[in-house]
Amino acid sequence: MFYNAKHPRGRGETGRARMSNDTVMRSQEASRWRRWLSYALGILIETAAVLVISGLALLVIILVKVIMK
Amino acid sequence: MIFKPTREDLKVIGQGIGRVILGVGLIMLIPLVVAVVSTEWLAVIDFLIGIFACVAFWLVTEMTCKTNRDLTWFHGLIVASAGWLTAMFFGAIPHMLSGHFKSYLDACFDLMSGYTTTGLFLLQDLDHVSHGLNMWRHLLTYAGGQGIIVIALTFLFAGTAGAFKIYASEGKEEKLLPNVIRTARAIWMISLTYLVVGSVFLFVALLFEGMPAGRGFLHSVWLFMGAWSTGGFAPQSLNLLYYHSLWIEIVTLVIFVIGSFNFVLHYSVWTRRRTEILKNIEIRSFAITTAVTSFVLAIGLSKGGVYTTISEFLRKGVYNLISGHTTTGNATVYSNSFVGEFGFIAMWGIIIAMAIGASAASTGGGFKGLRVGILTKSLWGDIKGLVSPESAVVREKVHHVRDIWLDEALVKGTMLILLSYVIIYFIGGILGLMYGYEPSVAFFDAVSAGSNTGLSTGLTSPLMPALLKVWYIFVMWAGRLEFLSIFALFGMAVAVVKGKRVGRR
Repeated sequence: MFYNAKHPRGRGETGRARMSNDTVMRSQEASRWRRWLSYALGILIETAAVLVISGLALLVIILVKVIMK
Repeated sequence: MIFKPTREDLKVIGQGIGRVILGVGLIMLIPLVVAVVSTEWLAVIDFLIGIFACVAFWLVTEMTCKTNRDLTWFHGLIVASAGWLTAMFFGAIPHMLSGHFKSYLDACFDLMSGYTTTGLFLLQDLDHVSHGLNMWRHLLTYAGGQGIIVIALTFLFAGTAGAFKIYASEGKEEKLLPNVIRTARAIWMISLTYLVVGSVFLFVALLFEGMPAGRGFLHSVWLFMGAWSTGGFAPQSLNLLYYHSLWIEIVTLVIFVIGSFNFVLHYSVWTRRRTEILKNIEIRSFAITTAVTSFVLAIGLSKGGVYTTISEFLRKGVYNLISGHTTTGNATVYSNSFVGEFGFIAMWGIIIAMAIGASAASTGGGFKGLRVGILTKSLWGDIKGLVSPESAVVREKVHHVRDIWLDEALVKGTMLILLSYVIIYFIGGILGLMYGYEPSVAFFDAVSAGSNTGLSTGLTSPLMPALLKVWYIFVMWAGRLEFLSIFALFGMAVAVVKGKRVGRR
């Protein structure tokens, strides 16, 4: 999405400085990267949760086997 | 008083089902391309016939059921239940034409098993099916995991209020975003992201095990689709046992457990509400029930004296238990090992895990962790109420993205669904017993079908009685849609026969 001259912000009505197309695009690019980094972190957290739960199951089985030996 | 559905009602339903079937036809384009690239011309013809049939059905419904009316709750429920059933009949066409099935009933069984992410199959000579058919089998389960209705919503329905009704009727009551079409797209975004990440890991593992790149690529995508959707399909008849690879087992285990998580939870964790994974009732419930069923499994395995090393505990015990608990059905043992090696107690550990199942609004089946959490908390509240002073007001809540206070209606609704599952498990088990199967075997496969798991003791085969095949098709369908849509469909059938005619509604 490009800078829109008809937008109130474009006319400076809110008091903010006008942003150039480059600035808008850079900001959108950075936002996209941040979003994908957030997704990647989400995947890592979910994977860690799976490993913890599987480890718990393995631990229970090992404990029972040791006790029943 | 029951009213007979009007012509307008039938038009709305017909149009909705037509669009769902068009979605099925569009998905068939992918295996068609795979068959063309693999120069499997017989498979190409099978898929062209299948696509033609789907498009023809859609055209007929568009011409005969043209209407601008939006869907009501009733329409949504009927479109979801009848849409899945009709999708089975049309999707089974390439299966039947492939020559790998004893009958059209067997082909329909595999279709319903795929759509509902169950994973039981009656296909014969699986190790020699075409790439196109294998792609279709795995794509079915991948698409079915997201929901056939979700697919249709993504591409073929306008963002109307009726869209939410058809979405919720598919057993997914929760939305990721306020708009249901954006919710459907967010579900696809999550699934496709995991498809890329998971397939890459599996591809590397397969190359590491010495599989050629081309075959490795196809197997990695298929294994991912089978695991993520908690379907449990694999391209080889020995399932995961074929690969004899610890790394592939670890990667698929991670994929199917993540696949069994609620899409709302995925979205929350991905969008900066990271601690949700620690607080969510479904994850807590899953961790506790995994530990409890592991305990039962361990007692069974110890008594049987099988699987004595840590590696065997992990690869044979934990893997198959969690595969059952997430209702996946990927297996690292032969079917008859459940009877011959696991034994009675360990088998019942897995049966309980399968019956409980995965998370709500996920690709998995079973009672669901959310319901187990609600009922446990409710029971705990009752106990607290008994020991508290008479004037005390005891209320319990569960945390699932937000705090949900338990009330009588919620607990009653939860009990009703849970009871429905118990009934279908029980009837399936009794039917198996009537046909002369051992109790553990009969109940293992009955619960596996009803909870959309797919682990089998060997009962499920082309030689099983036809009535049992029909029952399993029914329970796979009913279990996946969580009964409400099925009740509505039966209600409509009764209304058509016995309902009172009305002029206008």
